Amino acid sequence: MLALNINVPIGDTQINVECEIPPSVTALFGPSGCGKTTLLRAIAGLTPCSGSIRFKEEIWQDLDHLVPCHERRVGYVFQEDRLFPHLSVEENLRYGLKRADVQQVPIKLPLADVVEQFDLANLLGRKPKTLSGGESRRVNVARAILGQPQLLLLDEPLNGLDSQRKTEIIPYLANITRELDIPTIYVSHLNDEIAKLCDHMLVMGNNTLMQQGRTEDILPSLGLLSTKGDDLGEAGSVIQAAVTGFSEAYSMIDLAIGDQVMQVLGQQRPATERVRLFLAARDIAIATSKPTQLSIRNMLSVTITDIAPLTGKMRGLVAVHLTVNGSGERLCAHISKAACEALNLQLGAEVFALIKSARISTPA
Amino acid sequence: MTEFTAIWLTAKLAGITTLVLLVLATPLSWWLAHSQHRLKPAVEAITAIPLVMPPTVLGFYLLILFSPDTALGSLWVELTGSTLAFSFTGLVIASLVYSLPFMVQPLTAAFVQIGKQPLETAATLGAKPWDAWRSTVLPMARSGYLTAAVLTFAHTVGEFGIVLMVGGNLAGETRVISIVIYESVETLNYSQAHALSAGLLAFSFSVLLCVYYSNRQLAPSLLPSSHR
Repeated sequence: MLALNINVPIGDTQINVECEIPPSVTALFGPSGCGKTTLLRAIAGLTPCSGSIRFKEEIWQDLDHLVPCHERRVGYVFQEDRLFPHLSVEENLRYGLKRADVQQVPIKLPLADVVEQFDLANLLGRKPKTLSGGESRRVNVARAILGQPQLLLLDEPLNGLDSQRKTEIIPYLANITRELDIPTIYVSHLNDEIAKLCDHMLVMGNNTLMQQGRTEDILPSLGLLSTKGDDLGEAGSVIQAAVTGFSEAYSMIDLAIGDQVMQVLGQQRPATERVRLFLAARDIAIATSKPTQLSIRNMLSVTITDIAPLTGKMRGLVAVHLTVNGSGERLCAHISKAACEALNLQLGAEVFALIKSARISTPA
Repeated sequence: MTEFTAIWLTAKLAGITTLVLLVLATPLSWWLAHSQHRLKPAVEAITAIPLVMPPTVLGFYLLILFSPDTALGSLWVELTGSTLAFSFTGLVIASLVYSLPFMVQPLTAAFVQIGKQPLETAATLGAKPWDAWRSTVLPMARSGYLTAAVLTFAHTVGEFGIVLMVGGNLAGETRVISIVIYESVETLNYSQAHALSAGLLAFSFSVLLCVYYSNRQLAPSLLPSSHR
């Protein structure tokens, strides 16, 4: 869908990015300063770069063509607040909408729908400087969407918000990215956010594009990609689960993974809804027989598919890769090498993965 | 009657100078605010010359430039049949040069503070470059424009040396308030000098008061540091 073969200037050097980004939600992941924002700006046409950019059938840039930013129809949510201070919230929202209308772009996302989706009705008459951080972020995202973009670029849209505000905004983002069907590139360095929102991942680091692929395939190996100085975040795995029930008294959601059941903390959700969870590798323990008398409630029956010792900062740990029995979902556990040898873990052995409910954040 | 003719002439001169400079100084100030060109310091220095030079020096060079012996002067005589020196048009041109920094500096300060980010944001929302500038930078620079226009107007009202050199003292053509005051003092007509001087003083104070009040409400930081 979006084919890139460009040299992006990062400081004094350049990095070559050659990849094909699929039409869904793609995470752009990497340590700070590795050029994520510059790549996004190059895609939008805001930072000059050499090479070629093709979006669907349109050539945005090659040797003979250069489509300027205002003709690419990208919705861009910048890291910092970019609302126009002299316009009210409603005028800000209408800014892109009005210009899409003038250029006769079909209006698929009308103002009323987006205002409702982002819960902005009470803010319309206010000036940007009177908004709280969370409100302002919502308006920034809503304005980008109202420009009727064909590609959405989100540069750490939750940057600088506390976790309370994040839980307030993540559902909005999940909604737009899944329901509105606009291809999206989402810059983040938090794999929890990525697991909830993104289907694909591009990993940048060491002045190069290091990896790309499905989120489920890449997140578990992130810890292994860490090299000296690069903080690539926490390794872990993404699993899909279906909501099967809710316990009001305990505030717990029942989730089905294949024919096994797991419980996580959260709000009531419609049954059969599919959710994604991020399980950090260091939050998963392994037992060779099903333990009793334990506070940990989630014990999944799993099979060991790989055991790999870790190096560098994570020396002394091993990554145990697991498949959940009765479903194709994969997990990754980081345990100490000592524990691995004491339990005599072997490839193909059936064991139990223990996951503490309290460590799992509420699904988006 | 002399006073009223002089007041009207002064207001006309300052008004025209301000309007023309608003148009000319906008692109220049934008360029000064955002260009990385190696000649930028030179352009900045040239723009600021009227701030430091005695108006008589500036007036002297302009008088030479306006003489029918030069290319500009002879072209003007050919086109209009009259000389630029000692004419209202010559006075306007001199005022444009003399008051340029008073328009350029507040505008440049405003444009620097606004930056290019609003243009980028507008472009991602589908605005063409001119549309983007007009709908974001222009309204955001409102207080910078107000400051620049008022300072330019007031400064042109108060100019003396350059007028005397370039315009002389022709009633209804080049005799502005400051010239009338000078003449009154020379002829010992102190009551007229008092009236006009007090008028100018009150005028200057009240426009500056207006600027500082409105800027405090709009954006106090947009006033250039030299005029805070």
